[in-house]
Amino acid sequence: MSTRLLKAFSSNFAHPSFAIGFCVSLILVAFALLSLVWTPHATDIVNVANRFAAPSGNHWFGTDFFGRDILSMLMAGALTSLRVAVLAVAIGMVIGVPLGLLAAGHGGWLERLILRFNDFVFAFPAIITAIIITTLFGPSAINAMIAIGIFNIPVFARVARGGALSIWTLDYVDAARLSGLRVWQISVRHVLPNILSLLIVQATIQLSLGILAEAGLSYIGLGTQPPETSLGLMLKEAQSFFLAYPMQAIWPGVTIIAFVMGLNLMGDGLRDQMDPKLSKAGGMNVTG
Amino acid sequence: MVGYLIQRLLGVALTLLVAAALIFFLLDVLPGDPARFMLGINASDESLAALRQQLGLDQPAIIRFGQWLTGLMTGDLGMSASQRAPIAELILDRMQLSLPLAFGALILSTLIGLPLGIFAAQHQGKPGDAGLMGLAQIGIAIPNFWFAMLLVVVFAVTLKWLPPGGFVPWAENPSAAFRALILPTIALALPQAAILARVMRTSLVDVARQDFIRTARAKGLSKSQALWRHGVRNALLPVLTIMGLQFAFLIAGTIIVENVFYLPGLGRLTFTAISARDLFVVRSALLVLVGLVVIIMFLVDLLYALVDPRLKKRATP
Amino acid sequence: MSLAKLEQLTVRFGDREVLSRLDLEIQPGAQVGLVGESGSGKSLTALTLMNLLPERAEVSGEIGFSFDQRTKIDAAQLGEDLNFPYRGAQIGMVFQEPMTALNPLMRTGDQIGEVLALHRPENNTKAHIEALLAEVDLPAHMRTRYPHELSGGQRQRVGLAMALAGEPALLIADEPTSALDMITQRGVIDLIKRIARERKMALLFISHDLGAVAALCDQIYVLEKGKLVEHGPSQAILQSPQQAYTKRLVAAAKPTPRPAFTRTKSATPLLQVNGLTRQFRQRRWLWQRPSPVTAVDAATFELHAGETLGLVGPSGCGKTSLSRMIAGLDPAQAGEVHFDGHRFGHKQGSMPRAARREISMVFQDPFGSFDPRMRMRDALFEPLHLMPELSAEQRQERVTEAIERVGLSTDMLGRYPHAFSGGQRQRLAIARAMVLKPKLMILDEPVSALDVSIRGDVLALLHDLQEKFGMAYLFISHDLDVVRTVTDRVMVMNHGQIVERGKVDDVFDRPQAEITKKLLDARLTILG
Repeated sequence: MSTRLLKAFSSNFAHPSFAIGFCVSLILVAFALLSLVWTPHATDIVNVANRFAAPSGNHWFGTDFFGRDILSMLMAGALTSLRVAVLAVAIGMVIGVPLGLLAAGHGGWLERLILRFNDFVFAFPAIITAIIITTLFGPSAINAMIAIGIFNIPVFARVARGGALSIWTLDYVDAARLSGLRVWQISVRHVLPNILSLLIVQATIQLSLGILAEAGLSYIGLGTQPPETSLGLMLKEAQSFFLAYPMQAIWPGVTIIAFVMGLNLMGDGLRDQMDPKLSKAGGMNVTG
Repeated sequence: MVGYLIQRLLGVALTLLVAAALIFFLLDVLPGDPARFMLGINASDESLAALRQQLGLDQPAIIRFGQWLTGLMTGDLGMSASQRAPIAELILDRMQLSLPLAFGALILSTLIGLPLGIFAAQHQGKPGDAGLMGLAQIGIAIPNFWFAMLLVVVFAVTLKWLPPGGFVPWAENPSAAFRALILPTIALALPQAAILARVMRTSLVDVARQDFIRTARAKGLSKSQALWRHGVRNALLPVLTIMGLQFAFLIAGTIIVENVFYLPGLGRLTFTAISARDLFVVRSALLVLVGLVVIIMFLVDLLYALVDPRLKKRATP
Repeated sequence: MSLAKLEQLTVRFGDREVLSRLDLEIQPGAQVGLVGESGSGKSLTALTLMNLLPERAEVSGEIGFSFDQRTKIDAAQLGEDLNFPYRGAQIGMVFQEPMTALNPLMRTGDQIGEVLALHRPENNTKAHIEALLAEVDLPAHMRTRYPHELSGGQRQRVGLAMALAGEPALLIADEPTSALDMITQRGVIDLIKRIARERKMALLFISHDLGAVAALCDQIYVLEKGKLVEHGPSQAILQSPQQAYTKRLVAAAKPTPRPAFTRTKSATPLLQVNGLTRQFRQRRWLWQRPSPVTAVDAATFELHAGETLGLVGPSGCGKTSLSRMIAGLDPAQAGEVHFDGHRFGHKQGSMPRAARREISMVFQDPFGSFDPRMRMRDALFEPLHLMPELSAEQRQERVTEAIERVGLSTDMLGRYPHAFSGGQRQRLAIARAMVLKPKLMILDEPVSALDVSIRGDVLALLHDLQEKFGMAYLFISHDLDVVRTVTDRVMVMNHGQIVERGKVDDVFDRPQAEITKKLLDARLTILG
């Protein structure tokens, strides 16, 4: 399996947008993870005397209103954003994928019920869920994560069901049924491995949407709260001084854009590799 | 067609009913005593009793839910405890800002996104396509509120073409109201336009590969004639679905972008209500937001059925 | 003077040459057939004549037309920029896929009218469109229908009407009937033949099916891997093919003699099917009562151990639905199955697990039969789930025996399905069906998706296995000649009912049911 993965991976690298996206994402993830063990300066020490310092050898990107090092803040903020987005994708996959597999494998009333549920959850954008949770429990990064995660559930359920439905029409599924395998065994043995690449592509897309959503929620105060930091929260804090110190808002914004673009490019590249009809140059069907 | 319409309308009504029940359960039943929730832990027993009396909280939950539903039908949602005004009036007042903003962004993003997507598909693989799709990649990745902040700096503060924020009601000064909404609409619409352009391009490139386009060319049509006459309408079908889903993001976007421009929209109303613990305002405002999303999705489905003759015949959707 | 002529036509995609120095000539009013297997370059030939080659194709050679005047085109200049007025006017074309060749959002009449507006604007009238529909045997009201409201055969007729609307001197038909069932296919071929004669129109008919070409054309070109193998008058090619490849094609298109049966039938039936019924309930709106569509209507028959029973019928007649109920894959809405001492069906519920190991199935499509992400070893071991009592060694023995029986070796088992050819996969599918040593094997079109040259080998393998193990076969096929070769008895299905049954020679030589006669008439075999 590992050689197969490796082969798939190296063939993906032939695709320029995948290569670029993968590298950008990898650098940013490394940058975020590094903040767990090391940042150039501590992010929780306030030094008002040194506020809005210009970029220097000591502070590469300068300091913010509280005199905190912006580079360090970006690293810690990226980690929060990444954590929220990753866990939100995990919530969506852990609940959504089984729902989709169940709908496709079981069919009938259960499938209709799951589809209804899907449509229903789609009517609740993450922000509305976040408002409800905040009303009840107050704002936090975990709230944002749950709200985004709930929105991810129908997304993954839909993708999993769509992929699974097309697998269920194939003869090897019938062969497995003739071999006495039950619906869940077929879903795990035959369906899931064959829709995995589909799910991975969707996961990269939801990851990038999650980073954007976390930024939006934190910006309006429904997400990460001080003294924690996230890219969205940095933008919220920068807004008041934006006119005087625009770079305060530029850096977090650029980091978000780079992160989201990296993930999207990676997802596009993966999708192109998966879909053979897209990777062939355009034109018509030439077999004959 | 009529059967389809009735069935879908029933679905919309059911969705809204379940949404209302869910919101009611979460905000009115789950916190235990809504009166205590609204007034805080230190409230005296007398003031709690008075509030219960005033808001009818001494009745069982199911009765209160019934009253809320009746109120939603008749437009009487009760008084806001924090703002001392009828809730229905508050919401309607804020809608004159939020609705034009959301729909304006929907229209603007369509007007920009679809033509660019078609253009890119027609020039697939050429520099124009690559350039546009590169721009679209950036557009998708830009947080709309951050883009809004840049717009304020450039067009309001530096160039002074448009106001940096605030809102004058339409009735007082329509042109000022319009001007106040230009920047927020652009901030919302451009990232959406980038998504639409991409979806439109992918869809049209997909359609261009299909057999009926080849048939059309075999009739003697040129490539671009075949694409325009037969491709675009077919390619619009998946785009419509995406547009319906995008509307949910636009609604979310208005709430966020309101913040940048200090606009008194539904978002602001909700946030003030949350800080004031005014549950009645929050639950009604949320249901209005959900209702908007559901209704738009319903309209998109209808449009789909109008464009695609195959759907009119289909069994249960 | 020829109407259209290709000289030294070569088409390349990158360094892959897909057509090499092809010479082809079509006389006015002549019917020319172009035969070859997939990948032979026959469709590219048609696309060249239409100037519809993909942009990245590199072309050389010359193309000559003499419609109103003589023109010569340097093939290298083909492309979107070339002034090419013939497409849709002097040359019309019909494509293979009836399901996707028409614009789904446009009424058929408008799609025909579009050609008239382009090339014959004076004829763009309702009456003329209806006349074109009448010419392809469609009623006038089809004008206002959308493609999804038509059957495959009707769509293909609309496609033909569209190609005829420009009043072409040359009609190119690229596998126009390959996606249709036998009876519809025959109808469309006869229609093309009649119209070509009436209009005195030249025809270039492209097909992988020598039988279809033989029925239509008076000249045949045979292509293999982009090269012209042989060409000449139909009679000459069919009766005395010169090249080995053509000989193979001709041999495969002729009915094969039936092998001798040595096995004996048991007296008690292995399988008894009583009144088995399958219905799909459809309802349009929530409040409507569901109206049942019957796919299989009270099927009743017996099958003895060691016997081969054929099941034939037009597509959609219910033969696959019936076999899936017997295999326990689909539930029955009425009736029951007695199989080897087990009973299941509508009242008794689903198939008991003990019966499962006695029935297996081989499917039509060798590519869909195996999970692409699962090694062959795991796929072949999968049925042994049903025999938990076997030890690991016994399992290994079973799989080894099965794979050797089908003529493959165990060292291939570590590979994934994509590493095998279609014929090998079908052998592996048979091996998987053999692992349990079942008493009944259901073969659903087991050779239809294979290249003609491999079909005989697979049929011979099935025959050998039956001789050795005495399994019963339920053999489903649309190909009457194959059924005649391999089965003892045959049943004919139509609209969900078994309309005729008996010894295979009796049924085929003296058909009673209308549908059997139609099926036999629709055959396109080369006799001689």
